[in-house]
Amino acid sequence: MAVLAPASGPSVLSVRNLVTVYPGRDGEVVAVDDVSFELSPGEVLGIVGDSGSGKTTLARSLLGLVSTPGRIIGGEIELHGRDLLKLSHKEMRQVRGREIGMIFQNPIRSFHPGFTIGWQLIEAATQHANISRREATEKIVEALTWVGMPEPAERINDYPHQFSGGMLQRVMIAMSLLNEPAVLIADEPTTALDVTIQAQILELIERLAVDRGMGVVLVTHNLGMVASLCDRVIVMYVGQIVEEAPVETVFRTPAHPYARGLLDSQPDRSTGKRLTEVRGASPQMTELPSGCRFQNRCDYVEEKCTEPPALADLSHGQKVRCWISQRHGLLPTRLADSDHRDRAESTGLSGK
Amino acid sequence: MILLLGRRLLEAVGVLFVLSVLIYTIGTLVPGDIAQQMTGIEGATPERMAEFRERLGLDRPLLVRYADWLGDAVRGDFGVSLFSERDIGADIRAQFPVSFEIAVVSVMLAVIIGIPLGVYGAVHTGSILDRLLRGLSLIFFSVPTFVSGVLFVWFGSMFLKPFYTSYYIPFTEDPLANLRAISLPCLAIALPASASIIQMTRSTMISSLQEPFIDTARVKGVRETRVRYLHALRDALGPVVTLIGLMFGALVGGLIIVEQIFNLPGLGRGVLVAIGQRDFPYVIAASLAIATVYIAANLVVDFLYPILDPRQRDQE
Ligand SMILES: Nc1ncnc2c1ncn2[C@@H]1O[C@H](COP(=O)(O)OP(=O)(O)OP(=O)(O)O)[C@@H](O)[C@H]1O
Ligand code: SF4
Ligand SMILES: [Mg+2]
Repeated sequence: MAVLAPASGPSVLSVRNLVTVYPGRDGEVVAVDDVSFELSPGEVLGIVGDSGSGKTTLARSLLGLVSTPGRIIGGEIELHGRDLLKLSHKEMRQVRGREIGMIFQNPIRSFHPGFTIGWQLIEAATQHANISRREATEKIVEALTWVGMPEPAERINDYPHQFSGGMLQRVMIAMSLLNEPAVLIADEPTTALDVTIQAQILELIERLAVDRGMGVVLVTHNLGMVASLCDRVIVMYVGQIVEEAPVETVFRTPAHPYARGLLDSQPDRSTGKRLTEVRGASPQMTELPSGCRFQNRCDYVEEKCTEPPALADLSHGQKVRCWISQRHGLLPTRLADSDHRDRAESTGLSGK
Repeated sequence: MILLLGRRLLEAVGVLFVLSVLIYTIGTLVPGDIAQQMTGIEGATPERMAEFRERLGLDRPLLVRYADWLGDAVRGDFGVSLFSERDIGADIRAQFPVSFEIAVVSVMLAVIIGIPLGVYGAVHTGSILDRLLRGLSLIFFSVPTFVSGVLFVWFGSMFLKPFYTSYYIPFTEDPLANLRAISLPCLAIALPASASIIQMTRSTMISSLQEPFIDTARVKGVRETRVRYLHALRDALGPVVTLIGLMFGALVGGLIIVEQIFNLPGLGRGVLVAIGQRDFPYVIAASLAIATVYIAANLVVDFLYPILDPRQRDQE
């Protein structure tokens, strides 16, 4: 568990009302719809949500690298008080790698097969700093040592295919810290790796936040990972934030029916059995219902839900986009509430 | 890796040997008895034909004849032409450089035209120039060389009078005159070839640009031109190089036609004439010369491949 960053601490990254769209034949897909959040130094912010809820689009928007034909059409991304969306291409390029780093899902395919990893790391090290090859080599060997690669000075002459996926993800992390960026974005960094390797990579990411004070945005499907690593979590549903809260709060008292459903659908640690699935499927981005986007799957749905709810504060830094929990201050019990306590305990959150 | 390449070299020699057996056998067994043809079908008495066969050594078993021929061939002696009685080895040594030059210049032209345009198409997919290029390459690709060749001769003699000459002069004697003579024939071969290079480069480049490592480069803050022309192009080049190697094989048909149309003293024209005359020793020797170039081109590709793609080096 990373050091708990004070929620009110100075932000390194403030995202406000970000909107990213993909124009398409059957209408525009608003993949990131009015998203706002803050990230403090040393904080690990989790982003979870269904496939297609816009997590990757959000992550890539932060670096100005939305894949074509996507476009950011509104909002602000403020890094150290500077709005990245107002920067020129050249200035944005200087931000990449130097102020914001990013690591990806598939480490093997994220390295160029035709160049040695030394070459690729040196390219990263010399992009933003005017240093000699020798200095750059020293720097990358140091970074590789930090991520735990054995014999880095020899191995930098090897090609990516000569490494395992887990080792390449370490190299990726080493690459992202070369220029000491203030923010690291990790888009499902362990999804492609063995379970045993996953824990090692997560430990590295945690050390980036704790030892180096980086603010980390961690996109993941894995709630267990959120529980063990993140300070705060954002739950996304069809392009919108539906809940944002400190991790313990979400695990103890999820306020959005979708967040509760997600927690219930996690495989039980002791039995390995899923308790429930969130029934139904997300609506198509091009055929959104008017009102709450979760209404076709929601057990709590009522008349009011045909009007779109806003993301509003509950208490203790918890925000939710749901009429019912906003009215009650929390999500009323429908299912056996003890289940959720059990969930929190089995994911290791009790007594924290 | 050296081991692998050494093996490739041995394989190439082996392939050449097998080819020589095949070509020799086919060249000898073609329908139409050479002796009958040469003695004239009318006045051929069985005695005359037997005598002729003996003179050519045709009465000996195929295997013996092949061994004989091979022994001479490795020393560069391919015998004499059945018609002109000229030394085939000397003829081929004179014709080979002409065809080789045309082939190499054509492929170089095709590469120079094809790779940049293919890259452009991939980077600016859907732009007007990209669509124009795709249309044009479809046309270049589907017009047969004998049509484009004739058009080029006509065009050259009508509009490029001061530039174009139809007399072949070796490069070593007068480089400029040489280039004037081969420019149009090379273009006639290069255009359809460049069309396939454009297509191949465009499609491999498009998929390379979508590889996750391209994102990595961008995330590092690498300049977009470098991302495209170093990272993506480097990755896209492998299949293009393979295509270029194969192109030398496909080139032979074009060479035969173009040398005929432009009246160039190369192997292609020689083969065409010799086939008409059933001059089989010549056809065998020329076919082998052509096959050697093709095998050599693919050997070069085999050597280039591990340089372009390090993953290939660790096989073996
Ligand atoms: N390049 C693109 N062109 C058009 N639409 C896209 C593109 N990339 C994503 N989308 C759409 O944007 C929406 C959000 O996709 P995104 O990849 O951000 O989701 P995600 O939450 O990362 O999903 P996953 O968990 O599967 O990675 C989806 O509806 C998707 O169809
Ligand atoms: S607003 Fe209504 S439909 Fe939406 S999550 Fe809340 S209860 Fe369910
Ligand atoms: Mg994603």
